[in-house]
Amino acid sequence: MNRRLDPNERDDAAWTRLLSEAAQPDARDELAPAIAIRAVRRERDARYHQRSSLLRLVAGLAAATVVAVSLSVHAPATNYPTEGFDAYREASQAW
Amino acid sequence: MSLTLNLRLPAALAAITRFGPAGGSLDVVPASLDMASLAALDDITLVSLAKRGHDAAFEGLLERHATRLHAVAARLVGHDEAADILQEATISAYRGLRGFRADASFCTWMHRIVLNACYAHLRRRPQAREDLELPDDAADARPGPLGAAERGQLREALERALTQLSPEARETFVLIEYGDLDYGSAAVVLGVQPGTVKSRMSRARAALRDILERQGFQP
Repeated sequence: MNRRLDPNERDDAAWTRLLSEAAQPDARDELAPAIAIRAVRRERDARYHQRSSLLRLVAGLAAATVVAVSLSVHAPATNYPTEGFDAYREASQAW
Repeated sequence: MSLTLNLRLPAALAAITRFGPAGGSLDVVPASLDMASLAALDDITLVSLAKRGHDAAFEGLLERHATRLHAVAARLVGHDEAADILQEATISAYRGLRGFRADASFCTWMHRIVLNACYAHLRRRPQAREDLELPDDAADARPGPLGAAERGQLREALERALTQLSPEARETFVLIEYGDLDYGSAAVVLGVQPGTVKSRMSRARAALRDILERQGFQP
């Protein structure tokens, strides 16, 4: 039961086919996958470096905190020298 | 303890190798994700893998779709800027992949992102629609029956003719012909009814035919 196409319809179909054939990616589009993949890899590298920088910063802060706490725990109690002050006091009293 | 581990291991392996939405074709992931084995997987599987951190799977998706995406961008903003648009869209998709839900196909989703990037680009550079980069000598194309050279001329004439269409007709034609989307997917990308896509496509074809016929092209 194929209906016979009139000349106008045949013309339309031929133009539709022609336009479809012409509207295809060309050689300039063929490079696109490589471009896109390179962009993603750059993004991934940047993200990795950002993350590792952050980790280094956190690790540095943690190490500095440990050292500071350790020093404050193990440092001897401070004895301020009082000899000079005592001598001054005695001298002033004698005077 | 070791008995428990031994018993659980196959289940764990199965959990690793079986994933994704129910009813999908996500069964077994190849041990090594090289491009050859990725090419055998469908988009749904590759998206699931990419979401789980398999970067090669995302690259496999790009390998599959980037040519068409670039073709669309190039016919909307010009060839010189299409690569930038593609990179922008690709990075945007990479960052937003976790938020991608499988209610649309990856291809449709990517086309939407590329189209948005094109719109943003055209907003930044409003005169962009008028100046697709085409060789000047293509303007004199007056081909007879279509051979290889004439096909090249027709392609260039078509790209030039696209700039004379309305934005709606142009993006519809580009998505369907250069992007290879069906009417339904194009409707999703454009946010309109499939019937609207069909009528815009019909108008676009008629206008292109008119322009090309005046330049002497015939099927």
